[in-house]
Amino acid sequence: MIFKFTISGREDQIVQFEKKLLDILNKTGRMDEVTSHEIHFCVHEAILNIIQHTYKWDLDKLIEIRVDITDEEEKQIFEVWIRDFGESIDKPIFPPRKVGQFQLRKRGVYMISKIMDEFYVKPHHEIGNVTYMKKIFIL
Amino acid sequence: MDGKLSIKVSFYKDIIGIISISGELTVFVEEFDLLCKEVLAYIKMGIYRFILDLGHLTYIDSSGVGVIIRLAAVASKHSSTICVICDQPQIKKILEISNVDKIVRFVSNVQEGISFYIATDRLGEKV
Repeated sequence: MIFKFTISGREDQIVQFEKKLLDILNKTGRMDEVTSHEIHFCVHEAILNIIQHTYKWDLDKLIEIRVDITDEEEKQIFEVWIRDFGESIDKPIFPPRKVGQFQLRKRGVYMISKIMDEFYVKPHHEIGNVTYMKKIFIL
Repeated sequence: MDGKLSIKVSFYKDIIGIISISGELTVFVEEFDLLCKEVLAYIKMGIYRFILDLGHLTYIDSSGVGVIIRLAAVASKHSSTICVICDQPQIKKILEISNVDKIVRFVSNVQEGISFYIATDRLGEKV
Protein backbone atom coordinates (compact mmCIF):
# COMPACT_ATOMS: atom_id res chain seq x y z
CA MET A 1 0.00 0.00 0.00
CA ILE A 2 1.26 3.42 -0.92
CA PHE A 3 0.07 6.67 0.65
CA LYS A 4 1.12 10.10 -0.57
CA PHE A 5 0.78 13.47 1.14
CA THR A 6 1.84 17.03 0.49
CA ILE A 7 1.77 19.38 3.46
CA SER A 8 3.22 22.70 4.58
CA GLY A 9 4.80 23.29 7.98
CA ARG A 10 1.63 24.89 9.34
CA GLU A 11 0.43 23.35 12.59
CA ASP A 12 -3.06 22.49 11.29
CA GLN A 13 -1.64 20.62 8.28
CA ILE A 14 0.85 18.70 10.38
CA VAL A 15 -1.86 17.79 12.87
CA GLN A 16 -4.14 16.58 10.07
CA PHE A 17 -1.37 14.57 8.41
CA GLU A 18 -0.28 12.94 11.66
CA LYS A 19 -3.86 11.93 12.43
CA LYS A 20 -4.06 10.24 9.01
CA LEU A 21 -0.70 8.57 9.57
CA LEU A 22 -1.83 7.17 12.92
CA ASP A 23 -5.01 5.97 11.26
CA ILE A 24 -2.99 4.18 8.57
CA LEU A 25 -0.69 2.64 11.16
CA ASN A 26 -3.60 1.44 13.28
CA LYS A 27 -5.62 0.05 10.37
CA THR A 28 -2.92 -1.49 8.20
CA GLY A 29 0.10 -1.82 10.44
CA ARG A 30 0.55 -5.04 12.34
CA MET A 31 2.04 -3.36 15.34
CA ASP A 32 0.98 -2.58 18.88
CA GLU A 33 -0.02 0.89 20.07
CA VAL A 34 3.38 1.76 21.56
CA THR A 35 5.15 0.81 18.31
CA SER A 36 2.79 2.83 16.14
CA HIS A 37 3.42 5.74 18.52
CA GLU A 38 7.17 5.29 17.97
CA ILE A 39 6.75 5.32 14.18
CA HIS A 40 4.58 8.43 14.47
CA PHE A 41 7.31 10.00 16.63
CA CYS A 42 10.00 9.32 13.96
CA VAL A 43 7.96 10.84 11.13
CA HIS A 44 7.13 13.85 13.31
CA GLU A 45 10.82 14.31 14.19
CA ALA A 46 11.88 14.12 10.54
CA ILE A 47 9.33 16.81 9.62
CA LEU A 48 10.45 18.93 12.58
CA ASN A 49 14.07 18.64 11.37
CA ILE A 50 13.11 19.90 7.92
CA ILE A 51 11.12 22.84 9.30
CA GLN A 52 13.85 23.78 11.78
CA HIS A 53 17.04 23.23 9.81
CA THR A 54 16.17 23.26 6.11
CA TYR A 55 13.23 25.67 5.99
CA LYS A 56 14.37 27.79 8.98
CA TRP A 57 10.76 28.03 10.21
CA ASP A 58 9.31 29.18 6.87
CA LEU A 59 6.06 27.31 7.47
CA ASP A 60 4.66 27.79 3.97
CA LYS A 61 7.25 25.66 2.20
CA LEU A 62 6.07 22.27 1.03
CA ILE A 63 6.96 18.81 2.24
CA GLU A 64 6.10 15.65 0.29
CA ILE A 65 5.63 12.41 2.15
CA ARG A 66 5.31 8.90 0.77
CA VAL A 67 4.48 5.99 3.05
CA ASP A 68 4.82 2.40 1.83
CA ILE A 69 3.55 -0.56 3.81
CA THR A 70 4.54 -3.90 2.29
CA ASP A 71 3.22 -7.21 3.55
CA GLU A 72 5.45 -10.20 3.03
CA GLU A 73 5.01 -13.74 4.21
CA GLU A 74 6.48 -13.36 7.67
CA LYS A 75 7.08 -9.67 7.93
CA GLN A 76 5.67 -6.24 7.31
CA ILE A 77 7.90 -3.45 6.03
CA PHE A 78 7.17 0.18 6.78
CA GLU A 79 9.05 2.75 4.67
CA VAL A 80 8.73 6.50 4.47
CA TRP A 81 10.34 9.05 2.17
CA ILE A 82 10.07 12.71 3.13
CA ARG A 83 11.10 15.18 0.48
CA ASP A 84 11.88 18.82 1.11
CA PHE A 85 12.60 21.53 -1.43
CA GLY A 86 15.07 23.60 0.56
CA GLU A 87 18.81 23.95 0.21
CA SER A 88 20.46 20.61 -0.44
CA ILE A 89 22.81 19.34 2.23
CA ASP A 90 26.47 18.90 1.23
CA LYS A 91 26.70 15.29 2.27
CA PRO A 92 24.33 12.64 3.63
CA ILE A 93 23.41 12.83 7.31
CA PHE A 94 23.72 9.72 9.40
CA PRO A 95 22.73 9.75 13.07
CA PRO A 96 25.31 9.77 15.88
CA ARG A 97 25.90 6.43 17.60
CA LYS A 98 25.50 8.01 21.00
CA VAL A 99 24.69 11.38 22.55
CA GLY A 100 26.00 13.06 25.68
CA GLN A 101 23.90 12.92 28.85
CA PHE A 102 22.62 16.48 28.56
CA GLN A 103 23.26 17.03 24.85
CA LEU A 104 20.31 18.60 23.03
CA ARG A 105 21.58 18.75 19.44
CA LYS A 106 21.07 15.67 17.29
CA ARG A 107 19.05 13.90 19.98
CA GLY A 108 16.05 13.72 17.64
CA VAL A 109 17.95 11.95 14.87
CA TYR A 110 19.66 9.75 17.45
CA MET A 111 16.22 8.71 18.72
CA ILE A 112 14.96 8.00 15.20
CA SER A 113 17.97 5.77 14.59
CA LYS A 114 17.23 3.80 17.75
CA ILE A 115 13.66 3.15 16.67
CA MET A 116 14.09 2.59 12.93
CA ASP A 117 16.09 -0.15 11.20
CA GLU A 118 17.35 2.25 8.54
CA PHE A 119 17.52 6.03 8.52
CA TYR A 120 19.37 8.67 6.54
CA VAL A 121 18.99 12.10 4.97
CA LYS A 122 20.46 12.58 1.49
CA PRO A 123 20.42 15.42 -1.03
CA HIS A 124 17.88 14.87 -3.81
CA HIS A 125 19.37 14.70 -7.32
CA GLU A 126 17.20 17.65 -8.48
CA ILE A 127 16.53 19.96 -5.53
CA GLY A 128 16.21 19.64 -1.77
CA ASN A 129 16.72 16.51 0.30
CA VAL A 130 15.16 13.15 1.02
CA THR A 131 14.74 11.67 4.47
CA TYR A 132 14.34 7.89 4.37
CA MET A 133 13.25 5.60 7.19
CA LYS A 134 12.55 1.90 7.25
CA LYS A 135 11.22 -0.45 9.92
CA ILE A 136 10.74 -4.18 9.55
CA PHE A 137 8.20 -5.97 11.71
CA ILE A 138 8.68 -9.69 12.01
CA LEU A 139 5.26 -11.30 12.31
CA MET B 1 -1.98 15.36 17.74
CA ASP B 2 -4.65 17.89 18.54
CA GLY B 3 -2.30 20.80 19.22
CA LYS B 4 -3.05 21.50 22.88
CA LEU B 5 -0.75 21.90 25.83
CA SER B 6 -1.74 22.84 29.35
CA ILE B 7 0.64 23.79 32.16
CA LYS B 8 -0.03 24.15 35.88
CA VAL B 9 2.68 25.20 38.29
CA SER B 10 2.76 25.12 42.07
CA PHE B 11 5.51 25.17 44.66
CA TYR B 12 6.38 23.22 47.73
CA LYS B 13 7.82 25.64 50.30
CA ASP B 14 9.24 27.84 47.52
CA ILE B 15 12.02 25.39 46.77
CA ILE B 16 10.42 22.62 44.74
CA GLY B 17 8.62 23.48 41.53
CA ILE B 18 5.77 21.13 40.72
CA ILE B 19 4.96 21.39 37.01
CA SER B 20 1.96 19.48 35.68
CA ILE B 21 1.93 19.22 31.92
CA SER B 22 -1.01 17.77 30.01
CA GLY B 23 -1.71 17.43 26.30
CA GLU B 24 1.12 17.56 23.77
CA LEU B 25 4.63 18.66 24.65
CA THR B 26 5.91 19.70 21.25
CA VAL B 27 7.34 22.86 19.71
CA PHE B 28 4.36 22.96 17.34
CA VAL B 29 1.89 23.99 20.02
CA GLU B 30 1.46 27.66 20.92
CA GLU B 31 1.96 27.21 24.65
CA PHE B 32 5.38 25.57 24.21
CA ASP B 33 7.21 28.92 24.22
CA LEU B 34 5.32 29.92 27.33
CA LEU B 35 6.46 26.76 29.10
CA CYS B 36 10.10 27.38 28.09
CA LYS B 37 9.97 30.99 29.32
CA GLU B 38 8.33 29.96 32.58
CA VAL B 39 10.89 27.22 33.19
CA LEU B 40 13.73 29.64 32.45
CA ALA B 41 12.28 32.15 34.92
CA TYR B 42 12.21 29.53 37.70
CA ILE B 43 15.81 28.57 36.96
CA LYS B 44 16.83 32.25 37.14
CA MET B 45 15.04 32.44 40.49
CA GLY B 46 17.43 29.73 41.67
CA ILE B 47 14.98 26.85 41.67
CA TYR B 48 16.50 23.60 40.52
CA ARG B 49 14.34 20.97 42.18
CA PHE B 50 11.39 20.09 40.01
CA ILE B 51 8.70 17.46 40.01
CA LEU B 52 7.36 17.09 36.49
CA ASP B 53 3.95 15.52 36.42
CA LEU B 54 3.50 14.07 32.94
CA GLY B 55 0.56 11.92 34.00
CA HIS B 56 -1.77 13.53 31.48
CA LEU B 57 0.71 13.99 28.67
CA THR B 58 -0.46 12.41 25.42
CA TYR B 59 2.50 13.19 23.16
CA ILE B 60 6.12 14.31 23.44
CA ASP B 61 8.73 15.02 20.76
CA SER B 62 12.43 15.87 20.94
CA SER B 63 11.70 19.53 21.72
CA GLY B 64 9.66 18.38 24.72
CA VAL B 65 12.42 15.97 25.69
CA GLY B 66 14.77 18.97 25.43
CA VAL B 67 12.84 20.85 28.13
CA ILE B 68 13.24 17.90 30.51
CA ILE B 69 16.97 17.63 29.68
CA ARG B 70 17.46 21.36 30.39
CA LEU B 71 15.84 21.00 33.81
CA ALA B 72 17.85 17.87 34.54
CA ALA B 73 21.09 19.65 33.52
CA VAL B 74 20.40 22.53 35.92
CA ALA B 75 19.58 20.08 38.72
CA SER B 76 22.76 18.14 37.98
CA LYS B 77 24.89 21.30 38.39
CA HIS B 78 23.52 21.45 41.93
CA SER B 79 24.24 17.75 42.44
CA SER B 80 20.52 17.07 42.38
CA THR B 81 18.07 15.57 39.93
CA ILE B 82 14.52 16.11 38.78
CA CYS B 83 11.59 13.85 39.53
CA VAL B 84 9.22 12.71 36.80
CA ILE B 85 5.76 11.21 37.16
CA CYS B 86 4.85 9.25 34.06
CA ASP B 87 3.01 5.99 33.67
CA GLN B 88 1.87 6.07 30.04
CA PRO B 89 3.88 3.39 28.21
CA GLN B 90 4.21 5.39 24.96
CA ILE B 91 5.65 8.46 26.74
CA LYS B 92 7.89 6.36 28.97
CA LYS B 93 9.25 4.57 25.90
CA ILE B 94 10.23 7.89 24.30
CA LEU B 95 11.98 8.93 27.52
CA GLU B 96 13.86 5.61 27.50
CA ILE B 97 14.86 5.90 23.83
CA SER B 98 16.17 9.42 24.44
CA ASN B 99 18.16 8.17 27.48
CA VAL B 100 16.28 10.69 29.63
CA ASP B 101 15.35 7.85 31.97
CA LYS B 102 19.02 7.77 33.01
CA ILE B 103 19.14 11.40 34.16
CA VAL B 104 15.82 11.74 35.98
CA ARG B 105 14.18 9.92 38.84
CA PHE B 106 10.78 8.38 38.18
CA VAL B 107 8.35 8.71 41.06
CA SER B 108 4.75 7.58 41.25
CA ASN B 109 3.26 10.79 42.69
CA VAL B 110 4.09 14.30 43.90
CA GLN B 111 4.37 13.21 47.53
CA GLU B 112 6.99 10.60 46.63
CA GLY B 113 8.95 13.32 44.80
CA ILE B 114 8.82 15.64 47.81
CA SER B 115 9.89 12.79 50.10
CA PHE B 116 12.79 12.05 47.74
CA TYR B 117 14.07 15.64 47.96
CA ILE B 118 13.60 15.75 51.72
CA ALA B 119 15.63 12.56 52.06
CA THR B 120 18.40 13.27 49.52
CA ASP B 121 18.82 17.04 49.79
CA ARG B 122 18.09 17.20 53.52
CA LEU B 123 15.35 19.68 52.83
CA GLY B 124 13.87 19.13 56.26
CA GLU B 125 16.89 21.00 57.69
CA LYS B 126 16.60 23.90 55.24
CA VAL B 127 12.92 24.80 55.49
